[in-house]
Amino acid sequence: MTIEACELTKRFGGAVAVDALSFTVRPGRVTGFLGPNGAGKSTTMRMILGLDAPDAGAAFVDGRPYGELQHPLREVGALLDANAVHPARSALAHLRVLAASNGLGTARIGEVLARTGLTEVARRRVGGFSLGMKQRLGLAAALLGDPPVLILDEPVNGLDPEGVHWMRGLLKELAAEGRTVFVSSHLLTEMALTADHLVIIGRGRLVAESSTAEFLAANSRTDVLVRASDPTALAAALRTATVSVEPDGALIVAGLEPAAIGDTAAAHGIGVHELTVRRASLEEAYLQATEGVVDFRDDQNRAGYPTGHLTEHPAEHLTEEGNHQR
Amino acid sequence: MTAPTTGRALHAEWIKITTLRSTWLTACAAVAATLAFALIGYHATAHDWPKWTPGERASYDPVRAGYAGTFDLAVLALGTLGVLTASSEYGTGLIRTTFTATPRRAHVVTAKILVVGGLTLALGEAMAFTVFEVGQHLIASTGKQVTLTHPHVARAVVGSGWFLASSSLTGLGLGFVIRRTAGAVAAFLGLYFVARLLLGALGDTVAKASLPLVFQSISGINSPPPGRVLPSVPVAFAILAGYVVLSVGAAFVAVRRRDA
Repeated sequence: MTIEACELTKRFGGAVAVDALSFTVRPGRVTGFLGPNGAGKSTTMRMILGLDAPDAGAAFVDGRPYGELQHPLREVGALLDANAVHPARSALAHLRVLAASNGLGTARIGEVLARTGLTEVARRRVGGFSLGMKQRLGLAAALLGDPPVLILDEPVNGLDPEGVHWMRGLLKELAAEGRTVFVSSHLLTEMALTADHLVIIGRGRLVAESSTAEFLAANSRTDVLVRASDPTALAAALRTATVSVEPDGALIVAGLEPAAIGDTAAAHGIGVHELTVRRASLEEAYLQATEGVVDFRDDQNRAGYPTGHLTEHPAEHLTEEGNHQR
Repeated sequence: MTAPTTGRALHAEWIKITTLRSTWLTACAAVAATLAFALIGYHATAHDWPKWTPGERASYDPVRAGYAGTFDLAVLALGTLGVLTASSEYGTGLIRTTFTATPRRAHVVTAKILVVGGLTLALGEAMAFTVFEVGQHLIASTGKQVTLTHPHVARAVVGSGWFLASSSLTGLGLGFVIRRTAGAVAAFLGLYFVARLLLGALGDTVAKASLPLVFQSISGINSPPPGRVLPSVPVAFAILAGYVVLSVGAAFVAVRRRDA
């Protein structure tokens, strides 16, 4: 079963939340739905589930609008908001309600409670649950109808490291069972570990749709930072590479291996003080993709992103791979 | 494959309402407070009867006496129960899970109407009959007690229970339309307790449409005292039905038109 979005558009007041968004989510793999907060991920998921009516376009599950599904919980399991439970109801009662609404046997309730590790707390009121436990309950609800399609909005939110690990394993397991698994996240690092395929959106528009490996390869960037006794002479010597000079005299060399740079410097009698391989972080690639950031040094409007503090020096965005000095 | 029946939605709504302790607390509080005030009232009437003037005795309505004022408590409790059945789902976000499980939203509204209506009708009739039976027993010494076979008595007793269920359904509709518990409860209280004053400013004919006067007409067996403007019994039932139809009808429109 596939999920298809065709030119989905949603406006809230004057603002366009989702803008002619089209993509296809296929079975048997985890598809990450990636974008910064406010990019329109949740709105898109709500439109797929028939909760929000699109202003234009349409979404289909297995070729049909969600509202036409005969037994929706047997076809699509959704987790949109883990807090969307009545706090005074027990986990068991919550699942009993959902099972009854779709004519699912009560036997499944025990199974999903066990699979999500909630068996022991099933009779406790949900109001006393941690966010992590609520995420597990939301997942239990999504799995209740043993659906071939799963739509999960930020399912690792609120999970402890062990829970995150468990969730990753579960998502891969579900995809390996042949299900269509569509998971949103604002963290590329998380998706890089879980998703086989990525649908990336920014400001409601499709930015990229490709396999995770292809996206990372296309968007990552490796260069070498070199500090030398005579930067100008070294820059001249490194004719085969692309070299730029930093304000403090450091050279940024792209297209040459560190060993080659070191050998060239040695051949010209130039002292090398520092030689550092820098790899563009996944988050940086993602920010570039979603924000359309072309200038690597443009640090405007980046506050609040999960890469943490960003300063004017581009090296801050990069992961150091160790020093090679000679 | 068959469509998920309203029966399934009904089953789900039944589990929802019965698995909340607040439902039972509200119901028990409503029953206990209403019965207590009604029966204390009957007891006091029997006790004070010798001191009453002939005029007071003549105008005493032995059925209405058990419901006047006391059923306001029940209206408050069961109306709030109706409001909460819808608004608590919007407040917690559960409504999105509900509509994901049952995309035909009208099925959800219908199921809630049947569950809330059925539950509050059972409670309302149980309260109305209990107040009536025990109350008449308490005022035996006054010679004013009546039985269900007396003219208008059965209508007044059954109608009083019906009024409670109708109030609750009006609250349910408001909950769907307004979505926020505080706002919907306020609107319900306004409709019940304040609207009479506002409508009164528009003249007696309009004031007759206010719920307290509708209830007064339905729950009494005596002719209204001179100078007292009340809707006739059939008109009162029609107005009551009008409140329910408007409120619940607005709920159907609201869930169809608005994003969840």
